[in-house]
Amino acid sequence: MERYIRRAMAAFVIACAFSGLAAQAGDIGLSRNWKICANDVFELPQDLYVEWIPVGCETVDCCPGCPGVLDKLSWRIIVEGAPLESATLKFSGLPKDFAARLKFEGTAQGSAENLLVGKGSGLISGLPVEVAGRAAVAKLDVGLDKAWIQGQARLAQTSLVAGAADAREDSGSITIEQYYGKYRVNEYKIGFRFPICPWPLRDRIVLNNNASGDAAAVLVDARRSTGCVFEEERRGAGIIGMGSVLSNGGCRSEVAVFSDDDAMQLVPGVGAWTDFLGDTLNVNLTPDRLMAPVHVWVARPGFIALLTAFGDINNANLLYNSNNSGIGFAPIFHAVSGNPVAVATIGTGCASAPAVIGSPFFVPGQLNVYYVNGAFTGVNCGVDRNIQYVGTTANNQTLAHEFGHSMSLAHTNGDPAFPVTNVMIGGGAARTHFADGQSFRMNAHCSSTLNSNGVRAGPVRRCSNTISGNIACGIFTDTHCPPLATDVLPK
Amino acid sequence: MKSFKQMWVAVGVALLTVPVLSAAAEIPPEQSLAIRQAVVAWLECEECTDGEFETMARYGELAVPTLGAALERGPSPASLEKYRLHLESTYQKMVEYSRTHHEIKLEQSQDEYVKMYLENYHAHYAVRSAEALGKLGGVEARRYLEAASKRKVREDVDAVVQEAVQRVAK
Repeated sequence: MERYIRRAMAAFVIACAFSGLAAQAGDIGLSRNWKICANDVFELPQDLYVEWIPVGCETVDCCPGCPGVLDKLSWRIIVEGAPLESATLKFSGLPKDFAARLKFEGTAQGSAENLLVGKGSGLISGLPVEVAGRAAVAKLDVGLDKAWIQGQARLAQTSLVAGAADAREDSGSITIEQYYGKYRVNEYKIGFRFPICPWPLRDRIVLNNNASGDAAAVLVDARRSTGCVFEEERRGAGIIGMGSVLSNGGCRSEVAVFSDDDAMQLVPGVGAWTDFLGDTLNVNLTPDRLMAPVHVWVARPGFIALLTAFGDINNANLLYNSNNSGIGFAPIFHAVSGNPVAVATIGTGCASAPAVIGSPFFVPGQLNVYYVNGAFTGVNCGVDRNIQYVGTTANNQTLAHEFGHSMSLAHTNGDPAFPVTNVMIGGGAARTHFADGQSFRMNAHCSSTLNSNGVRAGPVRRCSNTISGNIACGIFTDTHCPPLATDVLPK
Repeated sequence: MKSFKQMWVAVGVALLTVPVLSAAAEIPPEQSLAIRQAVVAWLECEECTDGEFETMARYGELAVPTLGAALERGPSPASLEKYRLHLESTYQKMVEYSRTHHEIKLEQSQDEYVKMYLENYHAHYAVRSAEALGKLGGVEARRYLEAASKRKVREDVDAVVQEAVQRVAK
């Protein structure tokens, strides 16, 4: 009898703890937001879909003002959307006694070593709030609904009007909420979008000289039977199917291509499209990346400052190229920490920038980075967007973030269209992506340092959602730009 | 006899006070979530130009224990692990990338690379929490800062802590 009462009490506690929590899930920002052609899904490496989720609270005191009597966490896992079938979790670093005593409810079944969560909501209870040493981690594998994906791929083969295919895009997501009693103490969400990507049997875009042979992102403005279309997103390494694109009529017709190891190509006034099928638009992806010269002034003493600068530049190159931006950085290092005049002139932040500009420790018309002895992360200076300071507590994405400001990008904080992994989120330590809408601005916005420094020569635009730069944009400059959040996860 | 009665009164008062104090210390889940998000936004922001401090400061003393814990212990084990995984993954990508892109030159081992940035992450949390406690002020904030000022920490962190101690003492 006592056992039944205890079970009933436990069920009541769980029911109470999780009642009314669904409404809170809406405030969880996406950690990732994949967009994948249904016909490509089974060709992509499986590890693309793997994520690692640490077990534990986001803050070291677990949660502000929560009761101190509980010692275990619960995970609520929600799998939703037509393309997704399940999520598989494999915990590592979990103490054996905890692993053996985990309890599963809802759509969750299995063990700590191999837990399957079906569509709907699953619950794991009994996870440790903290373990000695490193936090335990769950490896998350996403299970796709193969029948649904194959159906989408079949539709792609028969789809004639590509514009309408975007409307048939479907999405799914996996949300993991970690709870300490009633208190949500950490969260994670991954989203998937599956558009129908037409096969290249009708009109098409052919990419030539794709240096890395990667799946380039293509944004298309054109006319279709449904009317003018803007920023249709396509992806491909060479031949990209477009369905049926019509002659321009009164519509804007241009193409922007973003590809690893190639500069962004902006092709305005496309004249290749007719009202008949079989049109081909050739886009030449040369030149290769635009390499912006960067002068790195290391004014902070110690070899570690130089190592940090190397590490930061390396990661900036990796991030910009692997997100198709077509931009790279060619550094020239200057070790000036032993020069008291240099250290005094450079100072520790943007307040010193006006003095720096007229000094020998600044190269005008090029990017300049100052590694200084100040306890901050980084800052790009409004007085001259070519100047950025990096402090002693920077993370490995700080410099890439400041370069984004120098090329006109603003913060994306609070914009739910962006995952929290966007490089231009004004904080966070695991930022990995630029959107194509951001890459477009860094390349084409008139006051981006890429243009004002003469690294890029090509048509420019006056885009919204940008910050002021070193030059003012002409008021008659074309304002047509893709939305900032276009293709938020290009890779 | 009088002291016996006084003792019972004291016990009674204590028994009545404990739940009241507990209730006062416990924050509803929705508010706790909002405070956590505000504190983390402040602790992790880059330039902090989007009102991160002001949003957090609205919670006043309720944010102080979490800031104090961050000053003392740094990021949570889960946040550290998240960053460690990111750094390890980045390093592996750089190794792969450097095979075809010679502008990348790896000057450190993976362990050295991870350690360097993890130390900065710890320092960043300490700096941000010290700055916030110094600005928020109050008895509790001062207690956390004075305790931190007696610990051996990195030079850049120590400078910020000492400044915050002076500020809160005014």
